[in-house]
This record gives sequence, C-alpha cells and structure tokens, in this order.
Amino acid sequence: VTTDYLLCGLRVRSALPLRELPQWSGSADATVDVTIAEGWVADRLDDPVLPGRFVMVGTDGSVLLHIPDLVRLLVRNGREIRVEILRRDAEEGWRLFLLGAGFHYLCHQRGLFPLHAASLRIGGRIVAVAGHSGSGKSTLAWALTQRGHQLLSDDVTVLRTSPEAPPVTLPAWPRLKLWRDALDRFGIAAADLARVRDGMEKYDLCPQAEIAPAPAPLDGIIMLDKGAEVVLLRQSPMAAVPMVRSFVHRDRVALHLGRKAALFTQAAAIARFVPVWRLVRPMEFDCLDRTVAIIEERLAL
Amino acid sequence: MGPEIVLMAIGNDHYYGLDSVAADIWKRMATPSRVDALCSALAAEYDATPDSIQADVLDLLSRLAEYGVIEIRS
Repeated sequence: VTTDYLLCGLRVRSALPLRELPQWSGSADATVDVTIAEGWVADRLDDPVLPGRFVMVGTDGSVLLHIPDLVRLLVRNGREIRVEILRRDAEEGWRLFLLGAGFHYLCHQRGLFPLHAASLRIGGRIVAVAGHSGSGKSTLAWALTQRGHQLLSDDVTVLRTSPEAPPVTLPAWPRLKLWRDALDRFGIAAADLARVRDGMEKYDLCPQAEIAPAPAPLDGIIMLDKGAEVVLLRQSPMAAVPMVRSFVHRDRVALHLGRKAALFTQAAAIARFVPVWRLVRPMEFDCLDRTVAIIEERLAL
Repeated sequence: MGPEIVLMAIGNDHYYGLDSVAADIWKRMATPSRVDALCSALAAEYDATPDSIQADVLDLLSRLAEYGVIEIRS
C-alpha cells in the first residue's frame, strides 16, 4: 500500500506513512517525482567518493546514510529513497532521518538548493532566517510566530533557483524544534510535546496546522550572527554570495556529488535577486522582543 | 555601484567581483580569444587609446590568471 504526499512541490509516493506531510491533492495524472520504498539496504557502497562512517556517496551519485541500530537510507537519482528500518519502536526515530538528511540529499541530487534556514511569511513577504545549528533560528522563528507571522519551515528552506528569476521557496511542513530552555522561557509545558529524539532535551512543536502553502518567490534572507547590539545590516550582493553559499545544508555531501560550481552559481543567482541582511544580536532571551521589532520595522515596505 | 559579475575560483574558493568594463571583457572571453583581437575589439567600443586599453587588459588578464580563473596560453 502506498500513499502520495506533497513535499516541496514534489509528488512523493511512499510505502511508509508520513503523517507530517499533506497528501497529494494535485492531478492524479501528474508524474510521481519521488518514490519511498521499504526494503533491504546494503551497509556500504562500492568505491565511494565519500567513504564516511555514517554517510557514503557513490560514484553514480547515490547517497547512503547509515545510523547504527536505527535506519539505513539509500537515496538515488533524485527520484527514490529506499529505507531499511533497523529499530522499530513507538518513537519512530528513523522518520527524522528520512524527512531530514535523506530528503536533503535527494534535493541536492535534483539540483535544488537546501538553505539552512527557517522561513516565515512576515507581513506578506517570505523571509528565510538562516543560521548554523545552535544559532537560535528556531527560537527567533517561534518569537516571530507569536507576533502572528506564519511559519513555513523550520531548519531547512528548500529553494528552486533560476539564473533569470527570483528563487522560489518550496514549502515543506511547519514544525519547530526547540530546546528545553526556550520552552521554559516561553511557558510551554514540555510534558505535552514529543522529543525530537529519545533522551534529547529538544522538543517538537507544531505551532499551527495550516494548509500547505504553494511555492512562492523568496523576498529576503536574514543571516544570524552574534554581537553586543541588535543591528540589521543590509549586505551588498557581492558580499551576500559567499554568505548564501555558506548556508547550504548538507554541504559536504553536495560537494561530493559534484555540485561545487553549481552551488556557487545558485548562490549568485539568489544574491542577485534577494535582499540579504546580517542580523547581529546578543543570543539572550531578553533581546528577542527587540530583535523581532527591528525585523518587523526594517522589512516593512 | 556594486560589481556586475561575481566569479569564484573553483581551485581556492576565492570570490572576485568584476565592474562593468571588466565584466564586458569577461563576457567577450566566453570563447577563447587572442589578446590582440580582444584589445582591438575593445578599442572599437571604448574611448581610449589602444595603448592604454592594452595595458588595462593585460593587467586584468594577469590578475585573473594569478587567481586561477583563466588560463593564458601562448
């Protein structure tokens, strides 16, 4: 039994239930872009170009992810993901890797640009908030949703770029992963939430159950940085190119897929059309309100 | 005004910005061409003496070659 889902504008046919995703509601005649099947996956690739302990990239561009005692994923041609679940339990930790890393490898194989960024609709404009792990993306995104702005994606924003037009955001599904200290600060009871992984003090939060938005042009990128004062600095396109490039998610695998020149070209196309700001702020909860106010003020037309 | 074209040298990951004149020269080099042919094409387009055009072109080409983004062959 398979079900068709919508993920980043793609029709995904899956033998595994993916309850996070909206079901496919497009034309029944549309081609299936991606298939997800369950089955045996070898624990190694022949002659990998990236012979990592957990991640391998094959000469044919296939990617193998092996999380010991949890899951093995084989991602091929940007079209199929084979999943071998090594540990079956109520928590279903394999889902995190299938919809996270596995899907992002597939994005790279398809030539899409996964930006390490949350994205929100702020006053009618779609804005990506980019930052490396631990830079406070989810916390800032949560604070923005509390002001009524709609969360489009947490952690990764997948872009489709073109040399002659603004990049398009491909909506995934909205959820936020927040650390325990942020939950406590916002007065959210951790007991009601699912942990991202067993034993981890990070929790899943679905701030709103909205209908999946359609792909839409990206209107701005805010790159998170640390500093003593809260300042939002507009970057020149030239300065923005390497910054955008530095926030490519799953960069190491992408390079081994031969995407080096392509990623630069895509970053340049993004910086050409989209305004990029560097947001410098102290990473303290007390500064959140002020940070949010500055974003709202500066992004208002 | 910012640069019109941004280049990245694949070998060292350095980024370079080209202003409008340098960008024009870069576009003309999309197909490999001889330096003297490039200079005379530019002389027909820009209001400058052939000598200063040649000096500017050689300066740009030697820097691009040094950065590893182009190859100069004799």
